[in-house]
Amino acid sequence: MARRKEPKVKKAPAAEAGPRGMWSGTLSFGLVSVPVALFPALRRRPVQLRMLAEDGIPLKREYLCSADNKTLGPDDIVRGYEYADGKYVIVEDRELEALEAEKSNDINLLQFARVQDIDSFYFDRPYYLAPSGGSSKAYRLLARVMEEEGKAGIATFVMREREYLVAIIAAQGLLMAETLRFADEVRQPEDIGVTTRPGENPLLSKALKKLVSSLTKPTVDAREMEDRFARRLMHLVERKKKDRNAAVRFAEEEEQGKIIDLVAVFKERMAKASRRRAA
Amino acid sequence: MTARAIWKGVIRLGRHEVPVQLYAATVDPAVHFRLLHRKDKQPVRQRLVHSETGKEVPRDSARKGAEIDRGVFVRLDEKELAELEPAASRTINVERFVADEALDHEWYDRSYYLGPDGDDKAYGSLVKVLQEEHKEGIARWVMRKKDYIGSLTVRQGVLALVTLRFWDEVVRPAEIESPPSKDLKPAEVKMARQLIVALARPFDPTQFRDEFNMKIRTLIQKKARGGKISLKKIRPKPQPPSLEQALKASLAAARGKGSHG
Repeated sequence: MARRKEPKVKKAPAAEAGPRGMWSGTLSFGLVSVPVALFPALRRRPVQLRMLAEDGIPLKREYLCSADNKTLGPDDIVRGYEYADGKYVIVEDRELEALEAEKSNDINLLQFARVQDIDSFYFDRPYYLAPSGGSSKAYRLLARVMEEEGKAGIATFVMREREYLVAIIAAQGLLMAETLRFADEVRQPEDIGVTTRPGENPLLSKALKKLVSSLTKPTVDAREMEDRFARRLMHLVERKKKDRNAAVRFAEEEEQGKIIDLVAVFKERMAKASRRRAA
Repeated sequence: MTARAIWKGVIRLGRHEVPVQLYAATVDPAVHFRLLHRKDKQPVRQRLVHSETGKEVPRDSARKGAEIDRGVFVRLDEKELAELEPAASRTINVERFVADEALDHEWYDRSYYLGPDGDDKAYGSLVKVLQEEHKEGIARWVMRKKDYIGSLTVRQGVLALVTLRFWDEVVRPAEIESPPSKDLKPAEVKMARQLIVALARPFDPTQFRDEFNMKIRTLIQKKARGGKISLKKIRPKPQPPSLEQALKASLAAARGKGSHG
């Protein structure tokens, strides 16, 4: 769930998450630098809903100037901040990039915390870090030791004109980057006036205790975590596929952002690094 | 500051019910921009157009469809889409419990507090049991015509729901082949471990601030007053010679810092 909500204008496709990752830079840890690329750990839903015209051709978004109604291309559009009613300050991309130039190339791990001490309220969005360029040895060393110690590296870095607090967490020899909310994004119960009164219903407590132990399992599985809406949508689409009147073919010029096969990305990057080592 | 509840419901656990009110636990303090036309600084508006003809299509006459293959769309009508929607309900069904910390970070999405709504004692019982047993409930509910799955937990004596991602939405680490670690030298492993231990701190989110956001605010104020902006350049980082030497030097530096407080 992206927190910055203003509409995005698609610019150069190079900024999209290609096989090169949506961010690349170094992960540093003391004087050790590990070149990495960042990939989303979330998939899109298998079937995406789109807005279509009456004849089944997809609709696209167009940008217009509200004053002269001219159609605008990406180069005609700038970011503005309304500092007074109807008055805007224009902020250019290069100005934002220059604000925290170093942080946009480097995730500098200045401290490590116990993974279990990070409250789930802070977790925002998961990514994978894949090694990029050169040897993957420092990457694998860091991943192994962090996992064995149960420690996450904590840092802030800048990606796509936004600063992120991030926890680098190792799992199964891989490094993940979980973006975290900043403290001022998480409210406390007293901030919102949630009040609870002491007291319990002893009979209910006893019954609930019994219920909790009878329904406890070590973890969750695919069936109980299923996206039921996606399944219903998939069924509907399967049924309608055969109906010739329902299907419309329309190839768009614009590539919609390729789906990345993370398994292949890691396989290739790790293999490249070990070949280099053997040479 | 007192926030308004955004939804009301009933937690159902077997035959038992706990009425609750739901409040958002997160806020967004980031600076928000508008898109402007560069030439006249007027706000940009959006419209929908037909991809082939470029003709405007009013939003309420837009239809929906699913892309089943690249460039192949299946039209779905309003009635079919309405049938896909989950049945409206006020019940948060707790179907299962897991130990606190059983779920990894990648599943958690968005958090809400649940305040009591009429039955304080039932609420108190549920808080007490979850705390004493160190358990999280796995719950399903429907809110604003959408299916949710979440973790029912306790924060500072208050019930909370954290929405969870669906199974297929997450690329789990187990799906990716683990890299080898045979070639790591014991000395390197040992030093890396010592370095991590030397840099270990309790996690304190209040230590970190969105400096970028603050700098954006300063930049905006400066520009609004008509001030000039100078752009900084990036300095390339020097590369140390070898992994082992880098670890050694880092360890020495971290320990030096540690001993001086």
